[in-house]
Amino acid sequence: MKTACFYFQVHQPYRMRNYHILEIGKNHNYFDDVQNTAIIRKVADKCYLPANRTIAELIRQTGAHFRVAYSISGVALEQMQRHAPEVIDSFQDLARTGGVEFLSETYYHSLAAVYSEAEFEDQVWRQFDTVKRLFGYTPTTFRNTELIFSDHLAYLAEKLGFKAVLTEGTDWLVGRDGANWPYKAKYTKNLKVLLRNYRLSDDIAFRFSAHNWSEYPLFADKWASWVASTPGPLANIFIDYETFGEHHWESSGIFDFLRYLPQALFNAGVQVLTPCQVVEQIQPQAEIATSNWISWADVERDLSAWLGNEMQRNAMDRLFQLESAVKASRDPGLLEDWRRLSTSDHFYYMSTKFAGDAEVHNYFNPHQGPHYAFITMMRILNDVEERANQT
Amino acid sequence: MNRIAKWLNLKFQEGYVLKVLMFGWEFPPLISGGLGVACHGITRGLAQQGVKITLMVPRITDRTPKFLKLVSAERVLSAHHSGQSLDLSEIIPVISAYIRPEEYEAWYRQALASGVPTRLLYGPDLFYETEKFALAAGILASKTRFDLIHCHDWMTFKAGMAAKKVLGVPLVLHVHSIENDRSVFCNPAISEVEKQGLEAADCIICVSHYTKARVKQIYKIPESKMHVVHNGIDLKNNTIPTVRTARRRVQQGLFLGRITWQKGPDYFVETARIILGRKPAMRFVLAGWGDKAIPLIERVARWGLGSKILFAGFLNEHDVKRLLNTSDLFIMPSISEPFGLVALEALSMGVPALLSRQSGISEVLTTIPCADYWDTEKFARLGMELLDNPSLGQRQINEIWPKLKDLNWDKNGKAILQHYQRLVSLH
Repeated sequence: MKTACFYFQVHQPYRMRNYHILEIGKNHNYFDDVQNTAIIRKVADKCYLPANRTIAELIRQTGAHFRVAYSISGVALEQMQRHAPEVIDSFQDLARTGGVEFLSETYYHSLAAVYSEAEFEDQVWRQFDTVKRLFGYTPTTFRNTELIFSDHLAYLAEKLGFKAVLTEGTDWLVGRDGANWPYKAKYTKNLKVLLRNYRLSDDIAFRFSAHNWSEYPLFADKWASWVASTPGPLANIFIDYETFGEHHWESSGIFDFLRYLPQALFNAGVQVLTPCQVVEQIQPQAEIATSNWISWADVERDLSAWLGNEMQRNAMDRLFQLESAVKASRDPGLLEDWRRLSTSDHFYYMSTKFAGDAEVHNYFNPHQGPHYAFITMMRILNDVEERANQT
Repeated sequence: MNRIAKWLNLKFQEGYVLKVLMFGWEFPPLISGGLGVACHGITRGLAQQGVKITLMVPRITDRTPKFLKLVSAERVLSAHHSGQSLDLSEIIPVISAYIRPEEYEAWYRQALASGVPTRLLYGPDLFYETEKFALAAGILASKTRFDLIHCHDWMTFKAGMAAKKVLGVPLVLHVHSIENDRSVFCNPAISEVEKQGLEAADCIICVSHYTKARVKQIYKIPESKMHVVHNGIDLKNNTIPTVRTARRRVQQGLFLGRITWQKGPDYFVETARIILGRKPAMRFVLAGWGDKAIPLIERVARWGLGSKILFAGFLNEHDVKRLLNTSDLFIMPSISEPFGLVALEALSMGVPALLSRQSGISEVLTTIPCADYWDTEKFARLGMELLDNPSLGQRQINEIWPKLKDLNWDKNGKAILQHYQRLVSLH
């Protein structure tokens, strides 16, 4: 029987404010509270609340035969707790349906896995504890920031006790239809890897409201038939949760699509499982290995969205150079600020890629361009450095 | 004393009031750079000498000073054409005195696209604007009697020539900068305006010997009608400022100005890189913005020095002062700097400075160390000496203080008045 597996990424960064040069050494408030509050409120109303309500209904209606997985970054959870606590309530309600798996990730949605093993572990444990505390759920599946993965990540995830990891089904790694089987990560004892079917995922995430797409408008039964006719036993649909109501507005019909989705899938003979169920029920036939980092971002599917230019590498290098000084200072407020700065979005804003990808970057960019993002981050890191050296 | 001078003395001692028609492109508070500041200082200095000035600028606000009569060109034109008066205080104050004609066009299009009503803008073409300004100058000149015309930089040269045609009185051109100072690729149309104006002028006042030499070299103007009057500075404090010492603090080197080719920011970051190799705990700051900012940010990132060489963006006057207050070294590596008011500002606030030899100010402040703008090794060596040795910096400030006190607008006004008197008496 064909299986569809849904996972949604929920994340909101603490966006930086325009930190002035004269504030270095004087003002340690780096984040744009007004903007961050406004955004979490807006996305809560447009996406999180209605989507949670819809999915909770669907799980209950189908007797939990329709199931989904979430990874909600710690920084997003914090902001919801402060500015939209009803979203936390609705996720807790989802947890009670019994049809939801919560994944673990880095609390700060960072690239710590690439830069610092110790910091990576700290951030993962913090996320693990938060999910357990808020939702009473013990994560067994790991999803690294933006599906960033490599052999090293597999090693780290297994070391921390996770049973499975999600990542991108990049063509160059597994070929056109290779994402439709579960894998075992090479060089690990028994860590399973689930790969994103980017075609079927992007049908919903990107193309759904594209009027110039030949398949527009997309209905649930048409899409379900594509899932059913896909080679292999499995279709992993990994998308941003903000797809529902934020990237595609409600008027696009995205919520209607979601509402009819379970029945359409069942009619097409497709069952729905969460990642931990998939790796229990479908045994891997092959091993997967990649020494290069992969991710789900941009057309390159590598780290270039965050580390593709010199500004990004300079900023990230500098941030992690400060790690030992920040930790040695034993200043919890400073460590927290430093960790919030490790969030991948800050580096994504510094990207200078052109063409299609640049449009995506600009849409999410709270600064006046990648260079502004870089020079602002560098001013802030000067203050972080001064604080670290003071103590 | 010859006979003319005697007669002159007599004439002015009898309380004769010189009436000067002046043309400027910006005036505080509507300013974008040094030209507006200089115009303010010059007119104030002259007013103190009893000169009665009517200054026409493209636009004015309600905040006008008492020491001169400020006229808006737009109002002159609209009054002339329709007899109605237009409220121009709401004109969008974005036009820089030294905006490039092509930048001006782009800015104009953008302003229109963003819904700014046309009546609040100048025309779509900078040259057209200078022509319109000249038209207003002719109208204004025909209304009253003036003894003399005085213009500031190329945008007003056509106005000066038009007024001279109407009034037939001496024309003074004040050169704050020439096209060759402002751009790698000189705009031939601007150069042509400058050439015509300089040739038509009866007297040319240059802000430095450096500028005078360049005007002579580039426009082949006879030296006999060129004179140097250095700009002044308003000192905020009466006592010699103290140079900061480095204890328990990150030392900071500063670049202040537009991040454009002419100001030499490339040489500043190169110098910073050399110094950082020896003093990795230091910090350098570029305050300002311009077309060179983005490529320089990328270069600094490529060196991995983005956290050491910071870009502050454009800062207001108040923040510039505060930034100077936290700086230990000021470097002005300009490729071509007619004067360099900003260096005076840094020194007057007790920040030791290094100057490019290609600047007007270096001929006045002869004790301040300077280097050719490209000689980053020398800048770095001199800079490190000052950074290691606050007492050296203090000595620099102590030595220069009498000169700073001497460079005031009062003196500037007296010097210009002498030229006025000579011209008027010979006329």
